[in-house]
Amino acid sequence: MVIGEKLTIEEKLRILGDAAKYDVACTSSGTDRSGSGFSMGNAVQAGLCHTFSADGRCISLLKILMTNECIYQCKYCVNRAENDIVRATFTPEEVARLTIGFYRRNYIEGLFLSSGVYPTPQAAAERMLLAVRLLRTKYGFGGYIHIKSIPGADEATLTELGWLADRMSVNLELPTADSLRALAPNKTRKSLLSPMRFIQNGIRRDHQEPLLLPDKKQETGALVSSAPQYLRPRDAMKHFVPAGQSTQMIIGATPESDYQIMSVTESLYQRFSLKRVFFSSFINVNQDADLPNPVGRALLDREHRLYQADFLLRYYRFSVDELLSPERPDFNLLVDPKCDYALRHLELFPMEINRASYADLLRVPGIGVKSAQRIVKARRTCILDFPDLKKIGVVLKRAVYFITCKGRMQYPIRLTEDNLTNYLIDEEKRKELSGERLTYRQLSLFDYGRETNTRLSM
Amino acid sequence: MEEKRTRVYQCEDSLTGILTAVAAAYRSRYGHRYIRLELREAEENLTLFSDYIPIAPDEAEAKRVYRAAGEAIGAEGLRWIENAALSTFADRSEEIYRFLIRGFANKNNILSCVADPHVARMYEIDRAVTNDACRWTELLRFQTVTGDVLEELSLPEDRALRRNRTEEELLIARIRPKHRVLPRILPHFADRYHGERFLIYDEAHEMTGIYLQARGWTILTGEAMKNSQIEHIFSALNKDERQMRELWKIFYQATEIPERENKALQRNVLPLWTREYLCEFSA
Repeated sequence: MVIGEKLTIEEKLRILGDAAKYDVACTSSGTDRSGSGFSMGNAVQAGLCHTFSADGRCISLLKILMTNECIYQCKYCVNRAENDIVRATFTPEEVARLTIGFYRRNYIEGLFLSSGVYPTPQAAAERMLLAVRLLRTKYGFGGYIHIKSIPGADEATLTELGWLADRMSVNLELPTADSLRALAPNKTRKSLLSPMRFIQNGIRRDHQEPLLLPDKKQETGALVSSAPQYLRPRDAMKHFVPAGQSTQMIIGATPESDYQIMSVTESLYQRFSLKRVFFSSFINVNQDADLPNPVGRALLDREHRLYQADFLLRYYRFSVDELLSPERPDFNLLVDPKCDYALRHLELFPMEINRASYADLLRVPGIGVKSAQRIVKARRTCILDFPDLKKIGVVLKRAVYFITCKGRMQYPIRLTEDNLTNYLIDEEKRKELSGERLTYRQLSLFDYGRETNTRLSM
Repeated sequence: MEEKRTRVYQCEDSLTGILTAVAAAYRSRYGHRYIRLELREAEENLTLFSDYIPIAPDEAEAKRVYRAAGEAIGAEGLRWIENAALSTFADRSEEIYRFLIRGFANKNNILSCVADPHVARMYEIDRAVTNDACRWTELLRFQTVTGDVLEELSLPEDRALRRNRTEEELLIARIRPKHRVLPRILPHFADRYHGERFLIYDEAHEMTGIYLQARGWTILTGEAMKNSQIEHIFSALNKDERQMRELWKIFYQATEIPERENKALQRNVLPLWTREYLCEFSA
């Protein structure tokens, strides 16, 4: 292990920014806060993206690790203890100065602070607390702060962090307990879920809602009077973790199916009231022989489908069982999950735009939440036709196959699954699959196992 | 029946100017069918068989229309009108006029009548301005300079302004939006940096927004900054500024995951024309 004793702030930023880049969450959304009462800084509900990196991901927060020294041996992580890499540690003052310097120039919305576990979880959490406290008190910083919670730290320390941060997150790392055991020997499912429940209960206490039991088998919504009450620190924000908590899972390192991943996601939303679940395509940074070397593009496509499905869960009132099933455990890489759902439920379509309920409109491919709301509002005053839908923002390219206006479809189309699939497959995907024209059916030359052939293994 | 000649009301390019012309159009009782609203500075060809009537902006008249419009179409409708007046679409005055006619006639739900072409157009304009304002809220970049920069600018001789021309640090930024979004983004920054003093210069429309702590913000139009000064002021980087830019570039490069590189996506979300003032893209 190389310990960089005399690193400049430039070198530290290069090392610790690089070490934090595999954390996905860079959102600055969820809090609306005016700047009054702070020396500098406010927060905007929808979040702001200040720039985009060459991989197309938004940069909204200064995403860094407090230190990349770590005592854990997670096989997927570049900072694991056995790796021989340059180690660096920020001082709290350095973190605060960088944040303020960038924030003042409108480079960022705030700070995303994570940390390696060194020398103990408690010590790591305390060092983060020092930095955040410094920002909020000495510098009077009112911008966004996202804190990665350190499982195993004292509840009192985590509570104080929660009172100073906007969002907290605990990484679930891998979708199943078995995978976790195999790849992250120092972490267990329980050790990750209990801090998640702890934050959830902190938020519930702040909202004066009954607390939930830590044991996941007894979630009856009972009020837990014996839960320890931690004092609210003097310089606390108005609410405890106001932007809620998020988590992330690595996909592609372990053999879980999309169905398993989405089921875990759904239960996290339902049982732990998470705001977001992020997915991170696995990159074998350590060239570890125990881990696969997934092909980049195919895995990124899969990640994209998972995010699409995640939005269907959160905003479109879908449940996982409607999208996938144990017999059909993976998403179709050719069409998005919503189209896929529509194609398998052609009995619901075509839907009459001027009469369908809001919930039904949300199920139409090409109609988003905003468009559905606008349609419902607009049809109170007039009868909508296809050109109006275009103005509203409906993606007609997809929607035309599933809707009627004034009882008519725009084009005469045969409503069969094969026919529509052919229309809906992305032009680019089609070219990629074969040089020239490709029809949906050509994929299976021999007519067995058509079901399993829908997902291509590239 | 003989057709009436079309009247073209030429108004000043401001919300006050446009609303005054709307009031004049109503008062004339000439018939909305025969009236069009054009901007005085419009570069459009004159039509042969129309009467051109210049309308001088009148604050009181415009206020009256504004208040009546507020009652008819509500706060969001007013925001549409304000945004349309800030936009640079050539048809903005005419569209505001048509939109208001519909708003006054059909007071309920005018905003959701997307089937009406004028309402749909106003909706489109509002979205364009709002998105532009949002984009520049995100992409605006401040740099620090010492306060005597204000001395160099040919600012109006405001006593309070002059009192603030000190040696203290000042944040300056320049933007190049498609629409005149300065009034839309200044409140955000005034809230965010309420303890600071800053200046935002809109290069495309020659507007300067100035915020001096408790004095609130003001917008100066026209030649507040001369073109020769601008380059000089913005390219003079002090030591602090150079270090911060260097640090930001380091972070920007460190945070990219090479295995996921996707320049097409990056160009999609951050078009090349928006990168002019982003230091992470400068050499």
